[in-house]
Amino acid sequence: MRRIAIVGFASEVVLEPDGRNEAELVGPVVDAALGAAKVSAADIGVVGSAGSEFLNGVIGTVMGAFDGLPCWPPRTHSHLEADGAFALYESWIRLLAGEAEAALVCAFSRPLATDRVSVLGMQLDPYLVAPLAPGPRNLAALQARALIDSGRYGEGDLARVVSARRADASSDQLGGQPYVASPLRAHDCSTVCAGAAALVLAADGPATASSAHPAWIAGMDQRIETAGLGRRDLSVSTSTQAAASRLGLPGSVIDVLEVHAPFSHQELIVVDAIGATEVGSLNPSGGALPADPIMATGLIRIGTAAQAILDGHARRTVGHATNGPCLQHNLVCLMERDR
Amino acid sequence: MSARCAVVGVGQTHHSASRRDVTLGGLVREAAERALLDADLGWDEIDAVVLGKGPDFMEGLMSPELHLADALGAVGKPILRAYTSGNAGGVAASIGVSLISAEVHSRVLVVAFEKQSESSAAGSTLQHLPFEARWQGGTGSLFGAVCREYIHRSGAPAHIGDVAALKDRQNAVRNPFAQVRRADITLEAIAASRMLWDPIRLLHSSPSSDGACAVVLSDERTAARYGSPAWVHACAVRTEPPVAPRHDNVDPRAGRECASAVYRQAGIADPFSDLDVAELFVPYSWIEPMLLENLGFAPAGSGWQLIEDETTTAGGDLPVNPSGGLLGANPIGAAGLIRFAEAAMQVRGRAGPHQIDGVRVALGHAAGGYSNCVAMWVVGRDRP
Repeated sequence: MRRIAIVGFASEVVLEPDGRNEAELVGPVVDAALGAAKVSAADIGVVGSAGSEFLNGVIGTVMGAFDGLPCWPPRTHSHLEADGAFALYESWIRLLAGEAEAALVCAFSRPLATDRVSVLGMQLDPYLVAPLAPGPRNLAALQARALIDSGRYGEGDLARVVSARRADASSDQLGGQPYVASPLRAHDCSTVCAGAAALVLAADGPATASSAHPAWIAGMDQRIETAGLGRRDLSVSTSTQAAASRLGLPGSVIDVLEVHAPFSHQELIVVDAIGATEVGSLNPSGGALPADPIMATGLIRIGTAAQAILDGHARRTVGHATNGPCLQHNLVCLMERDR
Repeated sequence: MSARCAVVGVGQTHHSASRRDVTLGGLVREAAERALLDADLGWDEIDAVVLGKGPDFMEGLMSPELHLADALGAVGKPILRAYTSGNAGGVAASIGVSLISAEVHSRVLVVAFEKQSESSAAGSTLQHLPFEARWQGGTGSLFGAVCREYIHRSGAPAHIGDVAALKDRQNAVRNPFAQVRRADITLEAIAASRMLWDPIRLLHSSPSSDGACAVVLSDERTAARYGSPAWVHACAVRTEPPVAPRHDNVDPRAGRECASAVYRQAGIADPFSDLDVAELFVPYSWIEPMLLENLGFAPAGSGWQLIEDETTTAGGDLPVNPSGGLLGANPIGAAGLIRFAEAAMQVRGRAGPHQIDGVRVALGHAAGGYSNCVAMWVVGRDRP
């Protein structure tokens, strides 16, 4: 199989709305990622983008992002309404198939809705579930409750995750906060914000020329689970397990693991599903809790894990991304320095 | 590094203005089961699924692959969704081809759908509310201006839109899956139909449709089981910015470059003589002459002549849209995949009443956005 590596990454999270549109969000990170990769826009043969038209309230958000994408002259480009990590998967497949030597993957998030989290309710079955308006936080709470009921973790473990990820939190104060959806408190739920991420992929030759330590993609796998929440054991992530198993992760050692967990309990579930015996550094970026630019969040996890190799700090890293209620669709990407 | 890929199964729904008898899941399932039956494969023999679907705003559903995972038989498997624009069905097919060509999977199910009865395509494509609604903005008014510009450049006579519409509408009568099948259609009726967005009349326009289409793609080893697979000779996607000084809605560079990419891959020197049939994405009849030029079948300014002299009729030298094309049915997200699937059906000799005799190589084309998003494939009877 052809060797493909991540050779450049850039991201930005915007906690306070600053009025920038999609192109203004995505343009700077695209330039920064190309600059870091020492790849010119002219060398990019495949462009993958991701965003959500529901978050910013207009159809075809990608049409508004084009001024920030290198698509002139025309390229192989496709756009997804899912996390940018799934656009990464598609671009990786296109490079594996020999369609180009380099690809640019980007994701942008400009949540303008008043209730940003409830927008995700548009992902539910429109006939039987969405009319009940359960709300993404309530569904996540059902999952957190299932995890606690499994006996593997308690509310104190959720608080430990929060205090590790949120710079402004200490675990002994967290338990006193009110529930937003029991057993979840406000700090257990990610802080939704604006942001963008871009990542450059290159095939064998160009990758070696571009970076001293390309983050070679040793494998990437993604799986989906049933949409019937009542038909799943919500306390585990079988799709993450299946993807991680195919990559040989259970029982292995990982230097850096970045998990896309918009709710504190989901980090515990995903780390267990990946099943590494030793993780050198878990979510050194802070993960999704302190800053969650929905649709870019997962791509940032993978880019951050790749960056640790590009910087020469790590040899074997893993990035995880998710989409859908209660971790329905999961992607795992394994990167290695020596391959 | 690029392994061979073949189409071994095709299925579509009977397209209709309103399929109230099925949910979205039921609609995609219907097409997928027909494709699996055609391929004589079980759900467990499918390695991965690709779902194509137009803008999420249309049905008001975000990431529809999530709630359709069960209906698509994707539980426990990899799934990808293609969107980009109205070319979604074509992009979905191209992802499927890449999964096979990269040797990641052996058998991939590609499904695309749109259920316009549960959506508002016209309303949801308004970009700048409330202003566009007042002047009936959106897709129709955009293409009205584009068609007018084409007439200005080419000097095409005013009746070309009627002649092109008559051809597709007569073809649709022979397609059992088409939604609009008017055996009594006449040139006079088309010319007298209501003007919607000058020069586009009602009967120049595609209908609002519910429908789905599915294609089973396989590697060479699986394809060896079949007597007449359609081999994928070429597949490409090209996109350019929709609003830019150099973007030409009448003759987009993305279309020209997508066409030259697939012709190069397929070893086609002259598309007019080397291709036996073409299924093109023509939502308004006036688009056909533009595409004939953009995709290299006719010199700039002369595409309309191929319509006037009946070259693109079912009995002509270059049949275009023997299925009736989008004028027969336009389930937006599926419409591109239907073009790709119809090309494969022609190559396999399985198009039924609208089969063209002796087809060896066929073109499928999908487009969307502001004519800035294009996907194409060339399929053939011979193994490449």
